[in-house]
Order: sequence, then structure tokens, then C-alpha cells
Amino acid sequence: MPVIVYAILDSIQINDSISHGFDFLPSGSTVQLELVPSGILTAIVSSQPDNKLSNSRQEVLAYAGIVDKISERFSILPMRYGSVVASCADVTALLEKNSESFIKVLNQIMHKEEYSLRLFFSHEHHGDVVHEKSVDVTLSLPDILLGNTETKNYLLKKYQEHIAEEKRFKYIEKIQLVITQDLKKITEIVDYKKRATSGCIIDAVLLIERGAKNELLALVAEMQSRYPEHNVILTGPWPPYNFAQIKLA
Amino acid sequence: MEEDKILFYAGSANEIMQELEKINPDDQTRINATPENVESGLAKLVLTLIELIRKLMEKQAMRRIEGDSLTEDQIEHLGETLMKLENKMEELKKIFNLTDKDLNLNLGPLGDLL
Repeated sequence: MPVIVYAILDSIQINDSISHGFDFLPSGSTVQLELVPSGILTAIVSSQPDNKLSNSRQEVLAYAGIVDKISERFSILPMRYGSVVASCADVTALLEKNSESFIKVLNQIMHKEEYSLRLFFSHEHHGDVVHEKSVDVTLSLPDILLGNTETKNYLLKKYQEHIAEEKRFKYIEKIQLVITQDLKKITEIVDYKKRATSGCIIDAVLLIERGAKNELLALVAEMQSRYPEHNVILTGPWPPYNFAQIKLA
Repeated sequence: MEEDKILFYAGSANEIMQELEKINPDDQTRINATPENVESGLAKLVLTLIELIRKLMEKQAMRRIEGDSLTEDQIEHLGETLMKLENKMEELKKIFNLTDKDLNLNLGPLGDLL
């Protein structure tokens, strides 16, 4: 019978409490989790009798909720929605075949938790940093753009926007440098994502030791007080999706 | 996002929510081509790519201006070309009923195309 895989962990973490049931699942969850051990690795799965996964948002969130609950208790390789394997025997084979790479990644994330840190521009509190047109660029205009023709006026406007954007990027780089130094006090494992929107200054995910949450919170509060004109948001802990990149053999 | 996952936030909750919605885009940012709307789906894709190239050309032009390597004639020619390109893009957007927001692709972890 096909099974959905939620997580992979090292068998040492499996103790009596988990082998007697998954009492930590979200309330109302009807999913029956099972353990599929294979040597030093174990997969947490549930049966999927009809082999059909719904694409509904509700189902995806329910799956993510279960992975989240498991990761609160254990250091796991979190799987993504849609990880369906033909049978438990195939799960065992998968664990055996990939044990070396799975263990390598597991060791990197052992006893650690993932957090997301984002810093945004605030239009309400510091509009002049955001609005490119308001940046004073009159001193740096090239002579070639001076003159009152339609094309020169057009290029001048574009050039001013360009300079303002460059200034904004430099400002962002400066803040990123400071925050990178700050985060190093807690962890070296930080992944900066490409800024997805123009309002985003920092979009980072980091892996910290379990138990270092308060330290991180204090650091973030300090960050916010240093940049009161920006909006800081810290979320987590999340399953280590960003640090558990696995390639199946 | 579950509320218990938000450990810290300061500043405007509204602004933060708006930014988060932009980062986790809805279906509008995807090319949604079906047999019924294949024309507009393709137009969206093609115009997105043209817009990307247009913006790259614009950036390159700004670098040349900064480098002070253009003559008066070249500046006039460059300005006219970029202006016409932008106007033509506006026309095409109107024809296919697309907005600036439509002309973008979310590339997942790589962020937005434009």
C-alpha cells in the first residue's frame, strides 16, 4: 500500500514514548502515523490507500502541520507534500540506498531549529528611504543630460531613478553587513535569500541550537531598536526545510 | 501563517502583511495558460520577457551615461529609442489587458524576475 512520508530521522531519537503513539499530533488530526525503521534511520509515514493526493490548501497545511509537530520534538529531515512512496518496503529501500547522505544532512541539523528573519522598509516611518524620486541626485547629473529636449528630460528622469535605486542598494548592503555580524554571535548557518520585493531589506533563514531562542529574540529586539524606521519580523521555529536539501540516489 | 510562529514583530502589522503577501505570491504571478486563455497566457509570458530585456537595456544605457562615453547625437538616439520602447510596451499591455503587476514571474527561491 502506498505511504506518505513526513520525515526521516535517526533511529536513536526514537524512544518509548514515540513507539507507543504520536500523542503530539495537532488536535483533530485523524492521520495514523507509523514508523518504518531501517538500520540507523527511521521514516515517519502514514498509509495512503487510494494513492491520490488532494491539491487542496487544507490538505497541504495539514501535512505541513504534522511535519511541524514532529520537528518540534525531533531533529528531522522534513519531507514536502507529495512525498508518496509505493510501499513501506520501498521506504526501507530508499533509506538504505540514501543512508549516507541522509545521515550527513541530519548531522548538520541535529539539535537545531530553523527561523526566518525579515527586515522591511516602512513607508509609514521612513518614506524618504523608499521613495526613489525623493532622493536628491541633482549634484551628480552628467553634463550630457543637461538641456531641455524631450529625450533628455526622459533620460534625466530615468537616470535619477537609476541613481536613487543604486543608493537604495548601497543602503541595503550596509544594513545587511551589520545584521550579518549580529547574527554571527548566535550562528554561522545563515542563508540570505534574494530580496523578493523592493520593500524587503533582508530575507534570511538561520539555523540555531535548540534552546538559543531567547538569545535570538534579544538580538532581534536589539536590531529593531537600532532600526526603528524599519519593520522586523522573526518567525519560527520551522522544520529545517532550507537546510535539509537532500538528493535521492 | 500561524500566529504562534510569529515570535517578534515591530512596526506596522499592515505593512508587514502586505510585504509577506508579495513574497508569497498568489496565482496572479503565475503563467496560467489553459486551452481557453492560451492567447493571453502566452502574451503575458512574452511581454514579461520583453519587459525584462527592456529594463536590462535601460540599465545598460544608464551605465553608458555614467561612463560619459556618449555624444550628443547618441544621447538623443538612445533617449528616443528607450522612450519609444516604453510607449510600445504600454500599448501592448493595454491590448492584452495586462498591468505592471502581471508582468512578473515568481522564480521561487530566486525571487521575482522583475
